[in-house]
Amino acid sequence: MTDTHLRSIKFAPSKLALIAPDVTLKRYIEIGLRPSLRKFHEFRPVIVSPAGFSRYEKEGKSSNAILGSSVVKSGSTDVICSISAGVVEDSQELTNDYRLRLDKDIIEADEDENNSSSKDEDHRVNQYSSVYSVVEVSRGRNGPPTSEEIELSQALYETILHSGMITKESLNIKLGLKSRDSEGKPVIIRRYDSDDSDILNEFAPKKNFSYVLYAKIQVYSKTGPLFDLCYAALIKALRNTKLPEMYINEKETDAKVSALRARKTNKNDSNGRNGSDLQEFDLLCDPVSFHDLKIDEGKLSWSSTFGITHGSDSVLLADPEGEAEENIFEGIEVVSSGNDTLFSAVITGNIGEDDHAISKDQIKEAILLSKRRSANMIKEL
Amino acid sequence: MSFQTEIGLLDQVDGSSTFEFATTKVITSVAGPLEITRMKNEKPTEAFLDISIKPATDVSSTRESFLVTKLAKVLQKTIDMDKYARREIQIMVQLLSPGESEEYTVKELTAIVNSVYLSLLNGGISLRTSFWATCCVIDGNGEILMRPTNKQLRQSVSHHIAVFSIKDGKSDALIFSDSKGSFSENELLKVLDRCCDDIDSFNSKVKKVVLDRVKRDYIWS
Repeated sequence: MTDTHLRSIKFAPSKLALIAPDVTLKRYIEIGLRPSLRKFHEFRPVIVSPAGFSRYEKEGKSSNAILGSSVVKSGSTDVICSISAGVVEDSQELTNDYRLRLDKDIIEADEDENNSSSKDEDHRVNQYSSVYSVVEVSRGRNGPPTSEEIELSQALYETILHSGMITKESLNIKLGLKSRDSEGKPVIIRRYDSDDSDILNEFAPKKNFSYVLYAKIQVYSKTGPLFDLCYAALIKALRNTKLPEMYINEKETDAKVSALRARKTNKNDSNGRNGSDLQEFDLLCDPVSFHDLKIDEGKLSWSSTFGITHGSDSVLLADPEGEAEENIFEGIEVVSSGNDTLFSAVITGNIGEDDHAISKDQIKEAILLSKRRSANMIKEL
Repeated sequence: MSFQTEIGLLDQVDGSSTFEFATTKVITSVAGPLEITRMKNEKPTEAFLDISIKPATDVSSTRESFLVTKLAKVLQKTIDMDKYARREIQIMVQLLSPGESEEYTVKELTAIVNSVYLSLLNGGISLRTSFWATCCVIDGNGEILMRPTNKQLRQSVSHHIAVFSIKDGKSDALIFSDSKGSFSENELLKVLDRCCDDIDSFNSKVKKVVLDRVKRDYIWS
């Protein structure tokens, strides 16, 4: 008979982190280190800079449709964000009309709760707008967006919307009118040129138009919490976003022209729109002039993520990075303005067994650290 | 204010319930533990949660996907996942009335979490803890309003949802919280305290509802 021994298998720390991240983490914490070898409360250095590929940042004439851009680097991760925009017709006035709302079934059954007498503009959320972002984490292959990407995109949208950083008003389009002056040269009359404002008021379309912002965020070689980097990239890009001025041609303003066009429109291709009150305008972008997108400077913020290890020696790890640290389930994610205002706080805890619960002190500590971090980093934006 | 619920109304699944509060209504079903339906989802040490959330109108979008990830965060720690290794638990959520504008998801998530909890109990899925969710807003005057109406929500400065575990009839540990809008640190801590109290106030009714259902389900001689 031969003796059979169970040989102990040895793993390199990096392999063990893959197989048993919790064990690795525990061993590191026990000797007072964290797997990424940073201090417990130390964040990764982040470099935020404009990418310089938007149409207004390039020298000379450029025809690309990117209106703002940024690059964020942290460790091996690069995040590139580009902002583009579209134009929509505001339906605000239409939907505020009680009769139209009734026709369009917008008025819901629980109207007593919504209280039809109160105007929509009174509501705080109606004053704010957001940016529709698409996050792409490169994985070396194509495919439908992963749940991580969807989560990031939606979280960015919701955080920006509810923080009130972008107001609806700042996205309104002040339409100009292209006409000819007394010498026959084409000029564009703008609403804020006070002399000609009468002409504009007479000819300008009765409808309002506004910009919608889109952001495309690309992430290369992902490490650590992505929301922080994506949020920084998005805000940096929004801050250098410039919106083109828009105008319509003089002939388009004539109501008869648009009525004619409406009559010509076939029922099939009218797409269900009502022909009678249809007014169509060809909005044109001014190739040269533009204005800055207004962002509420007081609401600039920075996002910080913390992981919380459990056990009796529970510690807060800033910016968890690497297999062992990213596997921590419990965490706090704070978007803070650097002073006392927070714009988002997401806490993921555990059930209260075996000292796993998140304590109030840990929440306070995380908020304090994130405030300090924000105060430092907002200057970079 | 209170809630209405009906437990075990669907007979083709293991557990089901409706949950209604402040014009938000949702119906959920739980089936499991099942054989894994797609091999790639199999997890060797724990259960796979297949969650889908369907909105009251329109088709699911990123908004619902985001709700799924939030719900998964709650369920991952509350369901006894180790007990159902290599198995699948299907959770279906259908919203009947959102009770809030599409910019918000707090009320829906609150109803979903509570309804899924009752469905899991009804389906006999092993849980590591009881849990309950509630939501609130802070209005322009800094007042905290629990379980707001849609109008209060739309006028609010910040909105919050919190899920707590329940131990010995008291809310115990914070499982998940999500706050959006602008608020201060003190406000956040106050909100968590208020949510704790609010969940405590629900406890006796939840117990009664569950007890009634158990009495109906089994023969006690």
